[in-house]
Amino acid sequence: MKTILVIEDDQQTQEMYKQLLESENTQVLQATIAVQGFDIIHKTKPDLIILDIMLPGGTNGFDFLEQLKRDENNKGIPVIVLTNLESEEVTAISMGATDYIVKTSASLAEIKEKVMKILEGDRK
Amino acid sequence: MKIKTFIQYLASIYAILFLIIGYVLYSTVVQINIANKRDDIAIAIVKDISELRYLTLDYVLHHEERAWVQWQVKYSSISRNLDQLEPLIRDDKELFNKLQNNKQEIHRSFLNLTSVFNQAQSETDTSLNLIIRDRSLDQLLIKSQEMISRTILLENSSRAELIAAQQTIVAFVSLFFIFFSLGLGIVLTLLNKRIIEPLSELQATIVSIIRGNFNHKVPIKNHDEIGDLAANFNHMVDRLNKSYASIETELNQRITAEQKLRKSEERYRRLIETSPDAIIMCDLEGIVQIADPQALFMYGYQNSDEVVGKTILNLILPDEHELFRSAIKDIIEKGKIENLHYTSLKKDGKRLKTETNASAIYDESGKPEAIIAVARDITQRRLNEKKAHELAAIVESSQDAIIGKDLNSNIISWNKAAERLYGYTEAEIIGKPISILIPKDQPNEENEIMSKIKKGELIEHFETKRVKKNGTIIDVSLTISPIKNEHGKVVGVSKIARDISDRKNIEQMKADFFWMATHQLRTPLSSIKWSIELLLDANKYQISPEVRDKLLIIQTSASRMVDQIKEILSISRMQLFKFAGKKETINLLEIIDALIKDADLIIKKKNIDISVKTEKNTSLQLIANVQQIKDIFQNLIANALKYNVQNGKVVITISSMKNMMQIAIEDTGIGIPSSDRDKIFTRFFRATNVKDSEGTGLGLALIKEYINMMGGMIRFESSENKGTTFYLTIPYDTLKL
Repeated sequence: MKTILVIEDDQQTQEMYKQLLESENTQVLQATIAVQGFDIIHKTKPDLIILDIMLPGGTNGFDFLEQLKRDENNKGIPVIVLTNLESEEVTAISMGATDYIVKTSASLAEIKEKVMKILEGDRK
Repeated sequence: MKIKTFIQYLASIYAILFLIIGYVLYSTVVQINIANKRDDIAIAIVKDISELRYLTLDYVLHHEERAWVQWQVKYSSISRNLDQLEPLIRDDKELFNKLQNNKQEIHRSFLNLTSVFNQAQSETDTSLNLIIRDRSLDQLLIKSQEMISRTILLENSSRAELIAAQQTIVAFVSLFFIFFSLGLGIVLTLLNKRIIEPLSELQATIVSIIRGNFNHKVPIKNHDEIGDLAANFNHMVDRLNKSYASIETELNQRITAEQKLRKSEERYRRLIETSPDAIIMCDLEGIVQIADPQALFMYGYQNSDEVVGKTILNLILPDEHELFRSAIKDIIEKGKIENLHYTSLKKDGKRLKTETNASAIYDESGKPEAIIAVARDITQRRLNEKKAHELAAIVESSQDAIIGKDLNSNIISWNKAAERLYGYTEAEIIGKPISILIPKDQPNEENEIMSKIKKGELIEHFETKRVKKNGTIIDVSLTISPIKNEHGKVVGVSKIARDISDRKNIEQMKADFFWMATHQLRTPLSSIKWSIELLLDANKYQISPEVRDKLLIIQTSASRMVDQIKEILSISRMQLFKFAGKKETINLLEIIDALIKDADLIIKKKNIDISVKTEKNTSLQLIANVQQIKDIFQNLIANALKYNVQNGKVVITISSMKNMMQIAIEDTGIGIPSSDRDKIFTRFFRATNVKDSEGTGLGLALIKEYINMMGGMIRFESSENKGTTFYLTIPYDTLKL
C-alpha cells in the first residue's frame, strides 16, 4: 500500500487528486496548509508528496520544501510540485523537488503518469 | 730644456773645447820655439866643431898660438852652446850626455895634444910624442866627428819635431773652424726653431686675436721661455676672453632685460587697450589726464579731447558726486579703494551701473600726484544676478529635489526639496560625494551615470533607489543632465530627483495583485479543465453528443482563459522585473535561438520558415538585463508567429551601427492597419484586425518601455496582409537595470 500526501488548499483540486490517484494500492492523505502536512509526515511517512506552491497560513510551498529538505528523516521523500507559473518550476527543481506539474498545462493523464512513475521507481 | 740652459751647456762645452785647442796650440808654438832654438844651437855647435877641427889641424900643423887661443874660444863657445842646449833637451838626455862626453873627450884630446907639444919642446923622445900626438889627434878628430854626427842627429830630431808641431797646429786650427761652424749652425737652428718660429706663431695669434678671434690659442711646442711666454699669453687671452664673455653676457642680459621691459610695456599697453574695463587717470582735483579707448567707448565718447582736461565728475551721475568726492579723499589718504559701486553717466545721458577700483600714483618724494581708476560696467552683471536670483528662487521652490554636482561627483548645490527628500540640510551636504545617497548595493551606478554624462548625454526618468539621511531606502526617478560651460564643455551635472516611492508602491501593489489574482484564478480553472477531462473520458461516463459538444465548448473557453491569464501573468511579471535584475554580458543570438526552440510547437503547427541572419563583423554580445532582453524578443517573436499566415516566413536580421545593435524582425503576417499604427505601443491597445483571442495589448507597450529604458529605440513598418517588420536599436552597453 502506497501513501500519497497532497498538500493543496483548493478543495476542488484536492478532490480531483483523490479521484484520480486513490485505488486499492494507493492511499491519498490530504492537507490544506503546510503545518498540517508536517503533522501527517511525522505520523505516517508518505511515499510521495504532491505540493502546491500557493499555500495559505504563512508557509508557502517553497518554505515547506526547504524545511522538508532540512529534516534528516524525511528529506528523501519524493516531492512533485504543483505550480501555476512556469517560471517557478526551475526554482522548485533546484530546491530538491523530484518533478513538477504546471496545473493549467498538464492533463490528468500526464499527472497520473508522473505519479505512477515515481511510485513504481520507488518500488524498484 | 730651457734655451738659457741649453746656451749655458753649449757655451761650457765650447769654452772647454776652445781652452783645449788654445792650450794645444800654445804648447805647440812653445815646442816650435824650443825646436827652433835647438836647431839653431845645433847648427852653431856643428859649425863650431868644424871650425874646432880646422883649428886643431892648424894648431897641430903650425903650432900657432893664435890657433890655440881661437880653439879655446871655440871650445868655450861650444860649451856655452851645450849649456844653452841642456834645458832645451827633453827626450834625448842620453844623446846630450854623450855630446857632453864627446866635448870632454875632445877637450881631453886637445889637452893631450897641447901637452905633447909642450913636452916636444923640452924632451927628446919625439917618437913617443909623435905617437901620442897622432893618437890624440885621431881621438880628437873621431870624437869631434862623432859629436858632429850626434848634433846633426839632434838637429834632425828637432826638425821632425818642428814638422809634427806644424801639423798639429794645422789640425787644431781646422778643428777649431769645424767646431766653430758646427756651433754656429746649432745656434742658428736653435734660434730659428726655438725662438723665431714660436715668435712668428705668437705674432700670427696676436694678429688673429686683434681680428677678434679670441678662441685662437698659441700652439705650445716646447717648455722653454718662449713656450712659457706662449702659455702665459694664452692664459692672458683666456682671462681676457672670460672677462670679455662676461661683459658680453651682461650686455646681452641688459639687452634682453630691455627687450623684456619693452615687451612687458607693450603687453601692459595691450592689456590696457584690450581691457574690457575703462581705465582713467586723473589728478588729485579730479581733472582727467588720460582716458583709454575702452573708457571713451563705455561712456559713449568719440575722442579723448571730450574727456581729457575736464573733470571726472562729468562721467558721474550728479547724485553721486558727493560720494565720489569722498572716495577721492579716501584714495589720497589710504592709497586705494576697492569695489566702489555708483551710477555713471554716459555722454547721451544714459545711466551705467559701475564698479570701480582706484589707487593713488606717487611722485618721487612719495606724495600722491594722481589717481588711476579702473571702472567696470556692471549693468549686465546686475541683470544677470537678478536673473540668477529668479532662477535660484525657482530651484528653491521646486517640488523636485534639484542637486548640482561637479565632475568628481561632489555635491555643489542642494535645494529645499532635496533637503525634504533626503533629510540632509544644504550645509551638511555641500562638498560631500553624491555616493552617500546611493545604496551600498549599487556601487557602480554613479560611474555609469557619469560616463554617460561626460559624453554629454542626458538621462531621463531613470528609476532607482536612494538612501535618506535616516537610512531609509526610497524610490526615485532621476533626470540627469550635463551642465555645460559657454564652450560646450561639460563642467558639472544637474540632477532632478522625484520621490516615486508612492508610485512605486502602487505599481508594486498592482503587480502583486496581478500575480495573486492570476495565480488564484488558475487553480479553479485547472479544476474545471480536469473535471471536463474526466467527464469526456468516454469509458467512464455515458454522455450524449449534445452534452459532449457543450463540454468541448467549455473546455476550449477554459483553455483560452488559461492562455489569457498566462499572458497577464507574464506581463505582470515583466512589470515586476522592470525594476529588478542586474546587467550581464549576454549573447543575443543564443537567446533568440533558445526562444525559437521554445516556440517549436506553433512553428510546426503553422509550418513557418523562421531564420536568423547575422551581418558580417557584428558583435552579438550585449551588456543588458537578460530577463528584459528575453521578454522583448519572446514577445516580438511570438507576435511574428502568432499573427503570421499558414506557411509564412519570419526573418530576424542582426546588424550593428556604431555602438548600437540593430535587429529587424520581419514577418509575413496580417500586418497592422494604418489606422492603428499610432496606437500600437499604447497599453491595452489591440489592433482591430486581431480577431481570435490571445493577447492583452500590454506586450508592445512594455517592450517599448523596456527599450526606452535601455537607451534604445523601436519602430516598425507594416503593410496590411503582407507583413510587419519591427526595427530595434539597442546600445551594446544598455543604460540601466
